[in-house]
Amino acid sequence: MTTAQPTLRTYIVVYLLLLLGLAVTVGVAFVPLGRMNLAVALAIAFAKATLVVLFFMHVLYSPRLTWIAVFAGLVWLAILLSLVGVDYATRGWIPVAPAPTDMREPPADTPSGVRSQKTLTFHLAPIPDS
Amino acid sequence: MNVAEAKRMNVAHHFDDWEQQYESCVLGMWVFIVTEVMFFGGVFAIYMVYRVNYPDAFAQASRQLDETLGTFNTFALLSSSLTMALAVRAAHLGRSRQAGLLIVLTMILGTLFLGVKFYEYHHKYEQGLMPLLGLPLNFNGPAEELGPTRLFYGLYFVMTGIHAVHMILGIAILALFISPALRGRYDGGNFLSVEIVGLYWHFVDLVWIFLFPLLYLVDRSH
Repeated sequence: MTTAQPTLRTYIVVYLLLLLGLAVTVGVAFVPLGRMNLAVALAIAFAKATLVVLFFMHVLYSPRLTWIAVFAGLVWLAILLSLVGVDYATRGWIPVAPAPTDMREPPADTPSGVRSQKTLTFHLAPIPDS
Repeated sequence: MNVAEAKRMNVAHHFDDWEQQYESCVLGMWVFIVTEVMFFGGVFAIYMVYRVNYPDAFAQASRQLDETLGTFNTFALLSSSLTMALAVRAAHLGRSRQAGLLIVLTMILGTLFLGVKFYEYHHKYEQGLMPLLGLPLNFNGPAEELGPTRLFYGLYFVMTGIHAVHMILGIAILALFISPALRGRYDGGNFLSVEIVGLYWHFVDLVWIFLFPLLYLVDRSH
């Protein structure tokens, strides 16, 4: 059956689970768990997303070809995020040649984010002081 | 007109039958959704890099967002996903009018979301927390967190902004379905187009499921 559908009861139960997930996300965010806060928030978000994809988007009832498309998306997203993460996480591991003088970091006494006009030569409008 | 006949009359000539057409269109929509996942994935990657590098500035800036309004908006969007799913179900069962009414309800909930979002944007503008396009940033924390704070608000407005654009497009596309649905276009069980627009709407909901905790709830515990 390619066009099978969940029952009305299933939709309501999934919706209530999504609302429960929302309540838990907000509640747990106010509990100090250190780094676990992010892990819990992401775990709940993934659980909610899985419910939406499987039931609201009918992937559970879809042919295997649809499953392949969904997993392809997940795999490419994982590649994107993990390789970007690995890049930034390992940048300090090896020494690199110093940047050209006009592209160097501003001196230490300059507040970060407010680069002087000299170090950024390519922007069109002056960055406003805040 | 019975269901089988209605379905046979709605098959494009390059498909063998309605089922094949249905599976092809759903697959095509999923491929489009995967490209959308990659589109949003790029911004999530930027977010990830800067949040890891500047956790304190992100936590501080995130606390300026209104988590009550964010929670309410998540509730509105999850509810709109339910009404959309029920609209698809109604079309599937050949209840065209019911599908039309549920689509209208979905649009109302989507508009409610956008209204709250607009209010939040306006409030941020008034507070001086919209450092975009040369607007000032009202910031009196440590100087080294000024840049990362500006980055957080930039990411907040870009991520919720492109999400809102998707919502506006979704509502506009849904509007095209009201008249056919109320006139009984889907009475015969030819629900393919409703199913497709439903997939789009749920995808927009999916993005928000991740945006909400990542932007509003970075660190609320102290």
